[in-house]
Amino acid sequence: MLVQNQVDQARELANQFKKQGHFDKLKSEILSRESNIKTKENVTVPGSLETVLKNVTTSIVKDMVSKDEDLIFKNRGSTSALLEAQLLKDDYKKFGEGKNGIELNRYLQSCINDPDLYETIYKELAQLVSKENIIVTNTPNNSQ
Amino acid sequence: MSGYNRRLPQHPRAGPYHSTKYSGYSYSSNNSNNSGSGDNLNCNHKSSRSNYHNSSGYRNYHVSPTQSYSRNYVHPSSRSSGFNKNYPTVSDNPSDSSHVLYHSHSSTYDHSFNSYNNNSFPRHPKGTRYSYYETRSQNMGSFQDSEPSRYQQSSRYHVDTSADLVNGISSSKSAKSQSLPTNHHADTLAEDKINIVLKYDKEYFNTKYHYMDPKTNKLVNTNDFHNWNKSKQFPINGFVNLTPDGKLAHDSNSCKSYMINPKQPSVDPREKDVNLYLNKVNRTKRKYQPALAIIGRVSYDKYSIGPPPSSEILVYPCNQSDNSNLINILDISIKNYFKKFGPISHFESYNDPNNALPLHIYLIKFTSLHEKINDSAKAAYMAVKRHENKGCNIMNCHFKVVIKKNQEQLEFIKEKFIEENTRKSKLSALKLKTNQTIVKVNSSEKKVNLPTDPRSLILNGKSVDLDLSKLSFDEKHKLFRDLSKEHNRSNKRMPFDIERIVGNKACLFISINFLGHHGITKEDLAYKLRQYKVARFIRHSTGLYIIFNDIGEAIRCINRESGKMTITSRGYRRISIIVRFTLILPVLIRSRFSGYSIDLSNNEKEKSEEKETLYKNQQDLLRAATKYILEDLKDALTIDIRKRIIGPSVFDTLNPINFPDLVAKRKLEESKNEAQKQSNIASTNANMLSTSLQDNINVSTPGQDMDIFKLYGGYLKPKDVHKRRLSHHLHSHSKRARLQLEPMEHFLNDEFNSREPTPTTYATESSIHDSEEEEEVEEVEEEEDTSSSQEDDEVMENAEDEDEDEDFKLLHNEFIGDKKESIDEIETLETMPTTPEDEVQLDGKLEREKQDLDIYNPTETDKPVPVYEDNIFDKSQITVETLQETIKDEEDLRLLKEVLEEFGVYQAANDTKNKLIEYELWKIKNSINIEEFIEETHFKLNEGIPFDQSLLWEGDSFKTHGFFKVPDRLKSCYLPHRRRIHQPLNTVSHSANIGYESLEDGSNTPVQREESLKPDSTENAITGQEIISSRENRASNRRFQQDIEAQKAAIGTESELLSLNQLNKRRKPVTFARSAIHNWGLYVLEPIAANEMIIEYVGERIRQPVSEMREKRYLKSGIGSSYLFRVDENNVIDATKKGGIARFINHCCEPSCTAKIIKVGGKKRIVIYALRDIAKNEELTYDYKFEREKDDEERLPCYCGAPSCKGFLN
Repeated sequence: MLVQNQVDQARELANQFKKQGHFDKLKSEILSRESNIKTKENVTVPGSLETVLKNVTTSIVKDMVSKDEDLIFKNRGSTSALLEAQLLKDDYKKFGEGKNGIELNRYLQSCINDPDLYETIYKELAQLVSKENIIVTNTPNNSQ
Repeated sequence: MSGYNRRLPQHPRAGPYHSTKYSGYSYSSNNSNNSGSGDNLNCNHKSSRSNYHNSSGYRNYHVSPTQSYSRNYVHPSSRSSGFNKNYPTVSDNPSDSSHVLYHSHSSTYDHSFNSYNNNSFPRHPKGTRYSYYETRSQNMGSFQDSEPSRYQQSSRYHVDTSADLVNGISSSKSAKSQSLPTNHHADTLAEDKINIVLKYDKEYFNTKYHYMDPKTNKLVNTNDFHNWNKSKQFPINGFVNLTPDGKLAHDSNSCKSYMINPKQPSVDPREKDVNLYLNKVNRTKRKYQPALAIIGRVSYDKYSIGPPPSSEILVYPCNQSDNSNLINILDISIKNYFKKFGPISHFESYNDPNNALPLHIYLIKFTSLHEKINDSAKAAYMAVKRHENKGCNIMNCHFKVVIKKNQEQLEFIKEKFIEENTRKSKLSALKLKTNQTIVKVNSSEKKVNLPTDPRSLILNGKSVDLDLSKLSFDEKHKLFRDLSKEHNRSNKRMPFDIERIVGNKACLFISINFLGHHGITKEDLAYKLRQYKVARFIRHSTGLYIIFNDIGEAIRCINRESGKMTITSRGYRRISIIVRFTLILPVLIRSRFSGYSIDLSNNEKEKSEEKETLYKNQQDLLRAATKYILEDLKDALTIDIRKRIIGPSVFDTLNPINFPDLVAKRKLEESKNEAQKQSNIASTNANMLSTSLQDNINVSTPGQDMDIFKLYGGYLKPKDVHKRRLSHHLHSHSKRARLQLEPMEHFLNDEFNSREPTPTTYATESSIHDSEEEEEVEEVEEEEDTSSSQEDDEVMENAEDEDEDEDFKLLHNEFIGDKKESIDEIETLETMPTTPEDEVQLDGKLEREKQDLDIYNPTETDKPVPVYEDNIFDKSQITVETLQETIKDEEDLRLLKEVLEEFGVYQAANDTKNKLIEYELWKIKNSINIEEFIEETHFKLNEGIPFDQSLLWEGDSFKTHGFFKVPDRLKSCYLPHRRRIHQPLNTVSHSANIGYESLEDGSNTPVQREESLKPDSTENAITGQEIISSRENRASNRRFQQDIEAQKAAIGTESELLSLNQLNKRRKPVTFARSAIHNWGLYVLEPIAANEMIIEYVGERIRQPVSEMREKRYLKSGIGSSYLFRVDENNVIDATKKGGIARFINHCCEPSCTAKIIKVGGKKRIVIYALRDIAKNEELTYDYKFEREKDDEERLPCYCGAPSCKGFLN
């Protein structure tokens, strides 16, 4: 029986959740499932989030290379780091440029705020609590 | 008797008495202390006797005149002319035979013991033997009886007429005649029991002299006695010196009378002298010695008697109780301390046998390297002597150092310390026992009164683990207030600048004054406080702050250590000092949630951690957990997207394989560029081939890409480089070709070409060369990835090598002289991929050769063509020679005859001087030849400067004109070193290469230079070793260059130091020779490219004032040349007396070099660099850059001869 007075019980429960692999499962599911992400013109882009992101990234990089051919003749590692920084800047602003741009940040937010996901996690946690027989204590948690 | 013995009272500071001894009487003024009756033996006890010393070996005891008699003690062994009587003292062994003389100098009856024969006295009943001693006294001669050999008993009592004397006698009577009146009772016994036999109880004696009958105890012959001082001529007390006639010696210096006043206290006459000495009045030469002088140490040698001097010392604590730090003393500390006096052969420390604790007694034995006992003894002596007065202080402990004389001494010291320790231990044990008893009693009594208040516990330093959080705010406040009162009376606060660093934590403070005064460091305190949990030490301008995370720890520390902790001061006294701390407590602020928070400066994280998280039920818990998971999920997704998706995608996309068209395009461009480069290189090489030596000297920079001298960094501005290139193009190609001159770079490479022994091996050598070339190409391919610039360099190298081959081939063709072969070779060359410039060059060469052929080939023309060109000359000055030169053949002669006949001159000439015409002609021609020869020789000697005609004297001798100053302008035409022509300065070349033979053939200077620079010249043959290694040199240089590049890349910037290092490798061989500019000059022995380092200006580095001083001195001593080179404002390099040959470099207004100041290892050094390409044997010059002198007289004229010469150096 777990009696947890010293640390945050919720945090401990979350760690337990992660340890049992539910967390990674959720993450991979979000990345691999059909994203149905839409462009600015409200066109649904087929494929999973991972695929979509890869395609978009490739197209953006190719576009950049077309503008500056020297990019491919320079050091690939440092150039890719620079381009990556360009892509990640300002909450994936580069992804949203152009007609076929996608609002990646917004999509991620929507994924996180998905009530189904919340419900799934909640249920999993409930099962976990019942399984581990965790007793909730009302003592204040003080890490000091 | 002319003297007297004085016995003086002991001076308080004086040691033993040293009474002045004179032969004769003893004189005593000590008469006041020996009062009383009976036996008054003065100072006959052992201790006092030992203090008396008489140089003649006897002691003088005097009884005051009031005590009847006085005695003289004489040591039996002493032999003296005085009163030598042995006397048994009280403390002496009775059996010891002694002699005694009773003498009363103040006796009325007897003063005259003139002479005594040695007779045995009657023995004392106790065994004392009395004897007579003969004494001769001249002064007392008047008291002698008529019979000179009278014997007198020594036990004779001299009866004074005074009552005192009678008392004395009566008291002495109890001694029973001859016995020593020491013990009255004993004498009485002797009288009763022993039958005294008087040996000299004879009539003869009894009738003659005053004698006390021992039996009757009466003086006999009293009636015959008479007062010798009836007239009271002599004083009753004291001495009287008489003349031999028996009269008073008043006028004699040696004879004085002394009146002794018995009541007058005796005075030490030396005291007077002491006062005089101290007042420095009438000071004698001899110094007053308060103590006996110590005899100097005598070295021990083979003649020395006794044991050798001790080389061992004993070191022991002065006072154990004072030496609190004694426990910290290590043996090694003592040993190290005494090592300075000499090498130690043995070191031993002793422990207390009772408790095995060190006694801190050390035995140190010194030795010497050569086992000389004197050295080791001296070391021991010095060790003792050094600490004789002040003692020895080692690590704040005082020790005493003594020479170890024997083992007993050591044992004695050890025992003493052991005893002391035992006593202490007993005492401490007793104390402990007592304390325990007291504690027991107290504990039983006060058990209920133990403080339980946590605040009082903290204040008393007893509570350390008190949880302050359990205290209420008011309690804390009170506690802090009390602590501040006790430990922070000055209300010290933390400085503002470190308040933020420290935070609101408790800390202890020590002022900077205290720390500075005692030299206490942070580390000292850290060590002392090592048992406490100190967070950090902060050194501040106000002092040292010792920060504690825990307030309780700080309180515990201050309670335990403040005022108790001691640290050895590093100040002057090096004593242990007590350290006091000031406690600075954190500010107490009422907390909002948890009651009270002490440490409000903690960061937000800590606050958040303190935040309460309460979950009412499971739902709350699950919601919170879900929230955490979702937050984490978002973060994890972001990281995944970034690192796993976008990153690899970008990297993969950037792969050139994904862009084949772009790659192809780039390749095409590169190939085009390469082709362009090849063409440029080829054109450059062609230009180089056609560069003349003259142009090379002035402007030797080849094409832009082929500037091998720029490999190590350029120092010349691009503007100048451009200028040189312009000048390079100004020179005609044909001229260079005609002169068969080549750029200097190729001369460097010609070494390789001259390796060719015979033309026949050309092919094989070429093949070898090609293979090497291929290797280089491979190298280039390998290094392709490094950098594009490097790649270019390699390409240039390849191109250069190719050019070398071509050059080699061309030169080869020229040398073998076979035109056909040459043409064939050219044809083969044409088949090779060469540039148009090469073709032009080759075409030009062919044309020239064809022209040469055409001169001698027969021609076939329709019209007659003049074989010889018209030689037009000045008709006004027709000479025989011009005629002879003009007339080439018979036709000309025939035409001349016709002309002369027409004018009628021909016949007349034939008639008059027909016979001598040939001779006259020869004479005229000969004189002309001679003149020409002289002129040419002069011209050559002066390097192309014609002799000034004004210096030729027509008619009379120049001596008739007397002395006059020849202007410098004219001097230059006959003095080579005054020559004003600037280019080329080739003095060495002249002296080396131009001999008389070369002058004979009439070749001019450029030709000579050209000959000397031919690749197959003997000079190159001599330096064959260098030629062989030229390629290796280039390879090593290339590698070195790469290293330099790497260094540059590592450093980031191009420093001049690197440049100096790399150029040191290419230091140029130079020599000095007479200069045309001034005295001596420096010349290069091989061609130097622009910007290359040539030599360093080496000399003594002196300061500015020294340089000024030296300059004056040099001028005084006649050294006119200045070799002082200013480095900066303060430093000058003086190469006048000590320096390198760089000092011979002359000034020139158009210099070939420049001096640069380069910092190497923090020191500025002067390095001479080439400003331009410098030919072999050319004189090196640089601009001295002297400051402009306002005074014309001080201006130094410049003889550089440059076209743009300013005329003056300054």
